Amino acid sequence: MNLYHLTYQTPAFISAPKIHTDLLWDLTFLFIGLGVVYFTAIFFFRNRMSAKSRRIADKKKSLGPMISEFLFYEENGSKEEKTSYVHLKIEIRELLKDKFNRIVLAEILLDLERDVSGDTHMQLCKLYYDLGLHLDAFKKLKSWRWELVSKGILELTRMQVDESYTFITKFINDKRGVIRKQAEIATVTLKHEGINYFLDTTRYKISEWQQLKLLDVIRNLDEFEPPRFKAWLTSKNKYVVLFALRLIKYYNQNDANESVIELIKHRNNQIKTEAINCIREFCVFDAIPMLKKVYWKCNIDVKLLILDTLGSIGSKEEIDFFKFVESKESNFVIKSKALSAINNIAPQTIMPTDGVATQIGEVHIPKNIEEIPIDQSEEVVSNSLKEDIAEKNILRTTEEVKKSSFTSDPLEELTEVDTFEFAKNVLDQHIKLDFLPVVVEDVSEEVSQMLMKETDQLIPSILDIEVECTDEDIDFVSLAFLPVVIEEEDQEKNSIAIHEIEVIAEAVHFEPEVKQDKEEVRESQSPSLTELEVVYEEVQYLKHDTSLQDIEVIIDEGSAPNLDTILALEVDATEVTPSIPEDISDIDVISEVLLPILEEEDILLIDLEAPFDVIEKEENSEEETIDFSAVDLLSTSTEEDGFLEASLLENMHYKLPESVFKQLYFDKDESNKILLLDTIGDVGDKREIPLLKEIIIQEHSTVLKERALEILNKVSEIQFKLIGTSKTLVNENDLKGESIFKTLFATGDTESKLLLIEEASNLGCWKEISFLEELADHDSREIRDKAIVAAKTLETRLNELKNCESTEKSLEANNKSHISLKGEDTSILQIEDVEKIDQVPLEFCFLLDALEIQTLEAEESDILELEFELEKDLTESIHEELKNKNKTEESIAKNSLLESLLELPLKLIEKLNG
Amino acid sequence: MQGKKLLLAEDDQLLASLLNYRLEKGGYDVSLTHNGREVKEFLNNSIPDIIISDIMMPYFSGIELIDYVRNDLKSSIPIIIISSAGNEENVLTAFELGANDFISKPVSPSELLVRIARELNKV
Repeated sequence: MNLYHLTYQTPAFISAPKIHTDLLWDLTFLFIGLGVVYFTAIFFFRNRMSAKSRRIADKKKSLGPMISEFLFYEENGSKEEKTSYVHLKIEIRELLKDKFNRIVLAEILLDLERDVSGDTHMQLCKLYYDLGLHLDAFKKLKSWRWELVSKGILELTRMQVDESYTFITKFINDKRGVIRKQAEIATVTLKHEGINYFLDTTRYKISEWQQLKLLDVIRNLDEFEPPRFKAWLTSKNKYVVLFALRLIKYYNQNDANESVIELIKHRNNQIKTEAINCIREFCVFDAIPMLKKVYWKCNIDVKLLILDTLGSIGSKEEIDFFKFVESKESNFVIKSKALSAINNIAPQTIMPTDGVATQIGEVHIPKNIEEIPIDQSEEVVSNSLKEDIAEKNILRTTEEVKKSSFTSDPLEELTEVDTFEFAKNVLDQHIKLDFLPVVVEDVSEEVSQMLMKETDQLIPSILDIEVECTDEDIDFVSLAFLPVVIEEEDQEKNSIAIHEIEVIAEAVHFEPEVKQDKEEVRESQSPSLTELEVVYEEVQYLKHDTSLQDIEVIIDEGSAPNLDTILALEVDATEVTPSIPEDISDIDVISEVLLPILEEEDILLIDLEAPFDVIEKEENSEEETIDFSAVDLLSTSTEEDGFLEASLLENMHYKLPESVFKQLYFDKDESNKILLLDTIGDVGDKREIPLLKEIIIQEHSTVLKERALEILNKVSEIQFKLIGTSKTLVNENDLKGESIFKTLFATGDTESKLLLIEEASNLGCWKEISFLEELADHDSREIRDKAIVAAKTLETRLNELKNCESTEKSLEANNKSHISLKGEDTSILQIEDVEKIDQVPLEFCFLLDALEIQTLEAEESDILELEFELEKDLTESIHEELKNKNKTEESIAKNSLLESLLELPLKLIEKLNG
Repeated sequence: MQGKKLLLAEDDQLLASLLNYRLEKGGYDVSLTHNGREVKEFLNNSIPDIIISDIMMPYFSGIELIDYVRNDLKSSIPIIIISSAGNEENVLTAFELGANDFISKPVSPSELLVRIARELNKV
């Protein structure tokens, strides 16, 4: 039974006290009552305070103008002003009798004191004093409440009541911190000698913050002359000593060096540190022995400071001390500091050892390095020539030549050194004769050579320029465009070397036809240039019916030994434009011969950078042919030059020297790519344009794309822009002006806007992409969506069109490449070319069809006529399309907007045709 | 400078009252406003010859005021801003937005008068 009770009836450990219900009710009422009283009190006091503040605010509003009048009263004012001022005085006297008014007036003045400066501030303080408000502040000083005392001190300090100084100084050693601090500031503020009194009398700690505040007060005192603070270095209050040291340092009082040196030995690390700082600041050399002495007793921070100080003010005598410290100290930071102090005193004394190989013998030179064989004869020849040329000051550095060297055949065959090597060396190392053929054989054939320049610009078409170079000319004429002429037998070898020589600076590369009799090989190896015979170099151009450009350079056998004296340059050219580089333009051009040819041929020169396509030299050919097919010779407008350049750059016939960065770039990761792009941006030139375009097209990273575009725009004269969703690269010339749809769009309703967007996508150009992209932020969702789709469609269409055009140009160029120099069959496309047209997207077949027909029909390759025919066809097709649309939208067609729409294609075409 | 209309925008009643008194004494026709809303209302009704505005104001700061005057009202009237010390960033912003001059607190009313006269002479 007991067990059962224990198990199932646990004993009650806590039993509820028996409280009478009435008591509970009493307590409830009590607490409710207390709550009510509490909230009532809060409500009462809050209202009272609010009412008081409202009263003060109102009073301030009414007294404010009165104060202003007092502040800005001028004694030389009008009578009315004076009368008003007297009335105000009477009024304010009455007001001052009321305590509340005095409080308000004091508050107003204190508020204004914070906001005004200059004369007004002085007037304000004077008014405060004149109104006797400082007396209330004095009363506050007598209060037992610390906040009132503090407030009184603050008031007197701000109002600059000098009389209060003696009253306030009593509080400097007040046990209440707030009052003490307020008194310290007041003492220092009110009188200049306050700082002395304060430092003399204070017995309490001066906190760091307080020191800063006091320093701020001191430095803002007008006409304050700081006392010699060394007097307080002997103070028994260590905080005074510390503050004095800081003030000594701040005011550069270096007349207390001995005391400061003594303070190095102070027990307090703060004082010690400050003393060392002073020593360092004032370069107290006498302190060095003391610093060394106390060093070993200091903590790490002070030790570091001492080492630093010794490093800056010490001499070589201290090096031993530093070495000793370095050997004895276990702390890594101190060791480092000691070593750096040594290097401070004697730079480069301590050299880096960690991670530096101790024996140079560890470096192994690979055994498979082969020396490049040098032909002695060549050396002799080149040396003698070097001397000759040096005399005439027509030297050119190897780097300059190499910069613009050929790029084609490998150099494997360059084993035997012969005449061309000699010539090459001459050109590479010494002579600025890149444009001249070096003739080492008998004069048997004429050499015609393309006259080009190694500057950024390129002579567009040069026909039959005849130039005779005199000794003087060579000094300033750049000869970079002329080939090296060597013996026939060694043509293959020669071509290798020729590739290394710059013939045409930026755009044109060609391989000169070089001929040399076998017999002359031996002669060519002879060291003297006088034994060499210069013959010719001939280059023929493919350009309409124009005659060949001939450059003839003859070096007579047995003539003077110097190149400049034996060269006679004959150059024929069609025209030399103002854009010809200066040094080339110095060449004597027979313009009389050229001008008639020009008129006859109706050839207008284009941009100097117009690319030339060089047809590879055939082995058995005796002529070198240069293809000008890629050059749009009919471009007349200078405005079109930019576009021309852009289009030509896209054309693969344009062979700029390949960028040296190309191989490097695509192997790199993104960060290195950015670095490489930066390098290209810094040192790159137009040769980087194809690479940059390739980067822009191929790169997925927007950052890289944008950087490449930036550099492209920098190196290119044309400005490009990334446009569309796929960021297509577009010439900014294409984007100039505003879309014609934009104006119409602004005036139309939603339906017509949608229609316009559709038309823009069907008919628009690059400008419309920008316009449609702008609409992507339109308020109307319908328009927004439609614009996005339309922009994509238009972009695709334009890209295809662009591809189509480039294909057409390449076809045309290829066609021209097969046209003979004499001008036969200049207008008929080759069969293989026509086949290529099939690769063009179907959507634009009509364009190519039209082009093809036109090309076949054209008697001369007149591009303008072609374009005219093309546009005509386009117009018809667009008209047909529009008519069909109009039929389906007859109801809308009546709208005047649509009428203007009908005119849009015409306008567009007119605009495109310029 | 007699009779030139001047808009003073300052939220501190006392300082505004003091400056108002000094400027009126200097011969200006001063319109006093204490917050941004009042300034905006005033500017919608009339354009003063010069605006003196505190940077920190309720509802509509001095910076916004400059922006409003220059961009919304398209007005080029001189604006002098009053700023507290240590408010350099706002001052720079104000200048970027088109403020003509700047004076820091505590303000010297005499200096302010000179600056106002100089700005009005420029116009």
